Amino acid sequence: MPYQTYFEAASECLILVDREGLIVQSNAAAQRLFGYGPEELTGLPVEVLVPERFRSVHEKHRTAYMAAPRSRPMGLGLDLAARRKDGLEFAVEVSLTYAHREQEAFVICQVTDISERLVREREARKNETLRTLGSMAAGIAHDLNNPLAIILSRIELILADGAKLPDSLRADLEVVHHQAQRTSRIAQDLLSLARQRPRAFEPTDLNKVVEDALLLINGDMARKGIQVRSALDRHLPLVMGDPVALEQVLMNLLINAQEAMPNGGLVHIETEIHPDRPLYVRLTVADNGCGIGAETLPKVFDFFYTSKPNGSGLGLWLSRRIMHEHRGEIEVESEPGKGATFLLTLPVAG
Amino acid sequence: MHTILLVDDEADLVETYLRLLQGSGYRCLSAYDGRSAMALAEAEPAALLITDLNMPVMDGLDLTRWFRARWPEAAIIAMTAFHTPQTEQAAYAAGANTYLQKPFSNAELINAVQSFLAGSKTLL
Repeated sequence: MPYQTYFEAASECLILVDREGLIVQSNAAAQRLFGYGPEELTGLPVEVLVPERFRSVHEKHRTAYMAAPRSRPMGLGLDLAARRKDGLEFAVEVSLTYAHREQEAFVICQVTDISERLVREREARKNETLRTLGSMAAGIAHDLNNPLAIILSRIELILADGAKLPDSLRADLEVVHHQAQRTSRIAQDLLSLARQRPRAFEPTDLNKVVEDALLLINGDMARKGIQVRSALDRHLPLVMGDPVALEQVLMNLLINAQEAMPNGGLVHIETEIHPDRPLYVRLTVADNGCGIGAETLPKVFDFFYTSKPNGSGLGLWLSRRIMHEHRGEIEVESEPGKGATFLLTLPVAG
Repeated sequence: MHTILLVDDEADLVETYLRLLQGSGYRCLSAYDGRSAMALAEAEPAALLITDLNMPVMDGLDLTRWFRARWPEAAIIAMTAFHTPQTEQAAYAAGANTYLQKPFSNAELINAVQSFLAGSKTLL
């Protein structure tokens, strides 16, 4: 029978429901989507496919629909929640087709799982918001540069006339100068955030990223009495990543480590295959600096959160964002006075 | 005696840098837009142009191009509050010898000026 064959074989998830809301028939795609075996759904109220908290509302809607049935196409903006047999909930779009067969009325429900689409849409909206915020931030940061140039230059002029200044005024001006410089750094951080270029993912040797970052910062570390020890796994598989962005993350962590050890210390960098997840690699950056307090620890990756006197609250936030773009993670472990350890996890390429 | 022509639409900034440059012994002329700067330069050619890039009437890039064509031997310092890699590239392409991102320190400006006008200070 052609109808029956189509119903069974359709790649769309189809469920036939009678006037009382009982499932008369479901096809293989529906059984797969909702996690039921063949015939298992037949005779059950359609509400078994709805999360419990929505069932009574669904029943009312169904009764109202049956009183004045009509076909309802997809894409009416009705985002509904569905429930698998194992309890897992997912977002669906449902179209309804009203049909008669041998004096009896039925509704053919076509259910589409839209959870992936919703994730993509949410991601796109988030990126758009970030782009807008980025260009706003860039505009503000740029506008700050002229007044900052005037403030800094005037203070330097006044300070250069130092002989005539009382000590207390000189000290005050130095504080103002320092704070203006800090404002300028925050403006520059905002600009670098806004200038994030599109990522260029390629098979990347994480060890090379570490070596490149160390080349940039090793001299500075040595001057500040910080010893850097690295243990790089020479058999480390490649990761799919943007080497420039990953280096930016590593530089952020190394600069933070440096600032946590004003009197010198030790930074340990290690790459390895993740001990618990063989398809991931792990990069560890540990220092023995001042550490992070328990109250601060959960907030370190928050937007604009900073515990440093000169911080902008963007570095770790951006680092986490970059790691997420790589389908990776960044975590931190720390105790005050015992240093901080940042653990970066990235999936292996391919 | 060499003259520096300082151009920026921010009056407070012009006044600040005039004090800095004159205080360091340089003779300076100043303007708030590119067109007025052209008139000043025609009347009294400058050995060094220090110009902002974003200005009304005639912007710093056009002024830089004109100045470079008119006095190929002169030096030009371009400065901007609106730095992007493209702006920097455009400034050099227009003929700037060096490029400063605002805010910069007084010492940076004086060092740049000295590198172009070594030995040309006047005692005011």
